[in-house]
Amino acid sequence: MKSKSLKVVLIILAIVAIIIIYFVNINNSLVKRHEDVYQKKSEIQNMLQRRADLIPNLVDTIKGYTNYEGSTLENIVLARSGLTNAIQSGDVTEMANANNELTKSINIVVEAYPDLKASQNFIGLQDELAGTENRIATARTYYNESVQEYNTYIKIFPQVFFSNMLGYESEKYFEANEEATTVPKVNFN
Amino acid sequence: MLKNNKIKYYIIIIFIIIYSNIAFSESIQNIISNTQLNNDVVVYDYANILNSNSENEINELINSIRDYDNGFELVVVTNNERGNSFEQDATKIFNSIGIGKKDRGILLYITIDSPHVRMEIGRGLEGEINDAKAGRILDTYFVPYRAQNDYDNATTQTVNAIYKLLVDGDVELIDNNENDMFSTKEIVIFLVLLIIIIILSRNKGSKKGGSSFFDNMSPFIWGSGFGGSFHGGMGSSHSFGGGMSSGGGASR
Repeated sequence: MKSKSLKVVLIILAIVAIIIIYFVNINNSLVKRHEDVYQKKSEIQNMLQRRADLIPNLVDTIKGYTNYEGSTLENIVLARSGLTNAIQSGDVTEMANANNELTKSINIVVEAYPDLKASQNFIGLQDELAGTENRIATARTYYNESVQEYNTYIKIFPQVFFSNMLGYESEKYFEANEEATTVPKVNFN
Repeated sequence: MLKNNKIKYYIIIIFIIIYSNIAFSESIQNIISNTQLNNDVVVYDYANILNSNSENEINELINSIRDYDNGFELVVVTNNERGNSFEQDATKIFNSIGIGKKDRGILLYITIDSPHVRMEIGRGLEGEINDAKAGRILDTYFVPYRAQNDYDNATTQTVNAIYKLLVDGDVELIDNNENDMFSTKEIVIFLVLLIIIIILSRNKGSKKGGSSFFDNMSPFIWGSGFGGSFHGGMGSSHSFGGGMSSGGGASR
């Protein structure tokens, strides 16, 4: 009799141990995935900041033109500060919207001064701008993939119980909520 | 018996249809899969625009750069169709192959139908070759030859320019020893973990009931597969260094 109850106790201990290990593993997975989302988001913030940092150079290049109008540059400067504010907020929808706004204002300015394309200064700047846009697109892809994995993970069985209990909520995708569903590419042609 | 043969027949037909579709499309997925099968090849000329002399010259130039920068890798891919997402395709190809050790890699992605070229620069080289410089290299060495439909010179001159920039210009050189230590360290860590796992699983037999050590190792097993999509869901690269691009570079 004694050995039988000992067996039962050991089996119960084994089950409890397995459940604890299972729970620990799920918790660790949640942490990892959530952290991955934030790491990918900060990559987007870096790339957006990189883009914002190019704007003063763009403004100076345009100011070098004798017939520039001060008003055409105002919008681009405003859009830039809108973007830096959005980056600091950490809200991905704000960032996506602000990024779109900046693209629009760059397009307007570039179309207003078609002679810019002949300027050596501008050609290099153009490559840098195009480069940051591509980087932003890449960072956005990786971020959205990470969000999709995380959002799916916290909703499926059996993690769904633990994620609620531990306070994990869905994260937002990086997408603008304005009329444009795709980020308009800056058109230098 | 007859029914069995009929089923087999239909299955074969279906496979042929599927396979022939895959074989004819020059999809990015195809390109990525093929590059992962050919370990030492660095020129993937799907559009058939480069002759073997060019491929040899490119190989030689890359080897010369690697004399100074052991982790450097460069891959050339040509494609007939440009498709709708040219820049993103280049980034996808770059990151799926994993070009360069410590992200010191370059991809030259060339399309023919809508003539485009992208020099995608790995993260580790962004200091030496920023986007503007990449654009200037393409303007100087690639575009003029392409305008004459001379892709051989366009490609070899561009790679030569990269060589001159990295070897003769301002360049941060990776010490050869440093690279060896990096991979040796990885191997040591892996072996130690392996030994620990083997020892732990040996102890399993001698325990009576209770939780076995194998249960403790299941987190390692469950933890795998996480973050796989970062590389576009593809498997690990073979002889390429695994370097990543953040989407930087220039197109022409």
